[in-house]
Amino acid sequence: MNRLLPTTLVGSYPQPDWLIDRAMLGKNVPRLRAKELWRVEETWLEQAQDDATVLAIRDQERAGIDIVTDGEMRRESYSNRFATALDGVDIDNPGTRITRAGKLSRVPRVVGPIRRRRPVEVRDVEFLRSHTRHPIKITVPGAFTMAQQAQDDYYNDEAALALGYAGAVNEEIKDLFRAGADIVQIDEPYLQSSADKARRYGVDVVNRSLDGVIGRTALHICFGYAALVHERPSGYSFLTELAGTTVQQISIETAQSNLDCSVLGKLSNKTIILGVIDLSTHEVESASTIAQRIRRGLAHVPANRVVVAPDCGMKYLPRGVAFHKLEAMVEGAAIVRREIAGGN
Amino acid sequence: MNTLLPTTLVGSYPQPDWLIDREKLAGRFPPRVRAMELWRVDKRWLEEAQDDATLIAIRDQERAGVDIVTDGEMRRESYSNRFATALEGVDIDNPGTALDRSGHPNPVPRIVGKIRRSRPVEVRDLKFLRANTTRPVKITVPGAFTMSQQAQDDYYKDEVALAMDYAAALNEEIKDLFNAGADVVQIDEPYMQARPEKAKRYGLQVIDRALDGVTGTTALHICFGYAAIIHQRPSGYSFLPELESCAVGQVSIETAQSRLDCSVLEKLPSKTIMLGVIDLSDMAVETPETVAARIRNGLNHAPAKQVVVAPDCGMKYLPRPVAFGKMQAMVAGAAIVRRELTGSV
Repeated sequence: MNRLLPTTLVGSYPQPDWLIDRAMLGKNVPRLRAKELWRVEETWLEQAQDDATVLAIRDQERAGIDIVTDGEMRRESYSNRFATALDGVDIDNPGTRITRAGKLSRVPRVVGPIRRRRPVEVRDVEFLRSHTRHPIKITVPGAFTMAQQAQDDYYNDEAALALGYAGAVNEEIKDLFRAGADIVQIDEPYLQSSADKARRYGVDVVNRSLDGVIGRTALHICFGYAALVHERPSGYSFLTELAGTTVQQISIETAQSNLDCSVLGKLSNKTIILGVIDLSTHEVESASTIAQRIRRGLAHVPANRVVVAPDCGMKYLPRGVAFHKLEAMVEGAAIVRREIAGGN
Repeated sequence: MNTLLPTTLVGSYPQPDWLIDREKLAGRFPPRVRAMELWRVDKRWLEEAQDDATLIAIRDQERAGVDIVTDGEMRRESYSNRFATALEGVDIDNPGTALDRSGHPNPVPRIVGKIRRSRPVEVRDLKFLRANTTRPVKITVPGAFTMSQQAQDDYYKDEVALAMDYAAALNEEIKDLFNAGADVVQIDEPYMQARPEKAKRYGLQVIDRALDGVTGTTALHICFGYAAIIHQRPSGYSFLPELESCAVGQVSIETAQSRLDCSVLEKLPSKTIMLGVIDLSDMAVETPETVAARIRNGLNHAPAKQVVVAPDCGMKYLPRPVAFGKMQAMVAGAAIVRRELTGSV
């Protein structure tokens, strides 16, 4: 990626209403499978999800996005598809956990050593690769986060459980790079919401996930989907610790929370994927507002180590709003790029 | 946009299976009355789904390199029923019966009053298409002669008067479509080939009425029927040279499946020929060289600057990967011949 301040999504884009029941999606983020949410019969579901992916790619290209994702069209949630495709995980007799939003949620129950049975997202990458010429990024749920979204009836040791997930994630990541991904991003929102545990073993889990991985890696950490978690703290409780991980890019949110970006100075060996679109409002920001947010980040990170993105996944936004916000983001990045380089 | 031997579709592209029941569609004659039960999406999201399917069709054409883009007719159960059933004077709730081109009776709109267009039918389709591609765009409308053959006339008792009023309605629609930004409007008149005696009697006046006062680029498609539904091919057209004296600008014909003797094209010297060079009865994707040979065959009888390259007919009934592959082959075949003619792509 040669351009200064390239733009990307964090991962998800709004799914069409004919594909999935978006109103139900927005009530609880599924940890088990939620096949009943889909509005297309099983026989044609893959074709429908593929077509929805083409539309998400098209929207990103039309908005001018540089690094393109598949919009997570095939997922009920960012984590459940991968998390429920593993050996050692019982999804038929689920357990329970409390979510970061304080709700009781039915979750996979770990009953044996966690192992990846088969590649889960490789076909997604192959499809994405064959449908765009842009650099591509794919997201995988993080091991630490998945461990927080499961009931442990086997390991009886949180760190061991998370490391078990990390082994599976590690195999998947390697396969995704082999399949043609330019960037693989681990989504670890629970490193922020369970910061005490994260400080105990989070870095080890991230490093285990990336052990032996060659390729550009990223990690996303946030305060939760704006549509489901309405509060914003004033800053991260776990972030600078990530300087001790092997991941190359850290994706954080700054827009909705008005993050004090001075904390980014403590991640001087990382590229920062700077979240500059506020997903708590349907109001489309002006390009100059976004440019201002980018400049705020640039006060603490040199421009050649910044990627521009929304705060988080756009899964819960209306499609038109998401598209226009991306257009504004692309234009905001262009404004700042022009200021820095004297050209586009 | 290639100005020499540009490529296009005749009109339709395969609809996604999640959108409509393609097996049911393929197992019956194209519906003449509405067939809303064929759609697989709840009507609350149907328009969004059809719009999205249109975006996919546009993108597929662009990816394949097609020059003049259509909307793939994603929103239609058949090429003709949506327009035909949107007219005043048409009873679609108590249908009549008419014989199709293979002699089978089908439910058809019943004419109970004067045919009139009460509202634009395809203008939104065209505006959507226009807004979602930078390439030239073509939209298809069912022909008045063909629609009059697909109706039961309980009012006019005069087939010419019926067809002329369909033509008047079509005339208003065509003007609106050009005003909305269409580059090409194509009239689909397969029944001029199916009912050539009637076509010879009054077909041309019906076309000219439909095009009265129209100044944009117009085309007329005439064929032997969807390959998936009509399996036979005659050796030649029973009604074609007659079109030389009508007002339409382009004539769209099929040559691939029927191995048409293209010398008949010399009888249409004033027309641009949309040459059908993709065989829709064969699921094997042609090689570009096969397509190029078919184009050269046509160029023996029509000057290259008056030829547009297209499939034989609508691709509605093909599997999507096959249709996409055939579009690519068509584009590559046209490029081969273009290079031969000009020394460049």
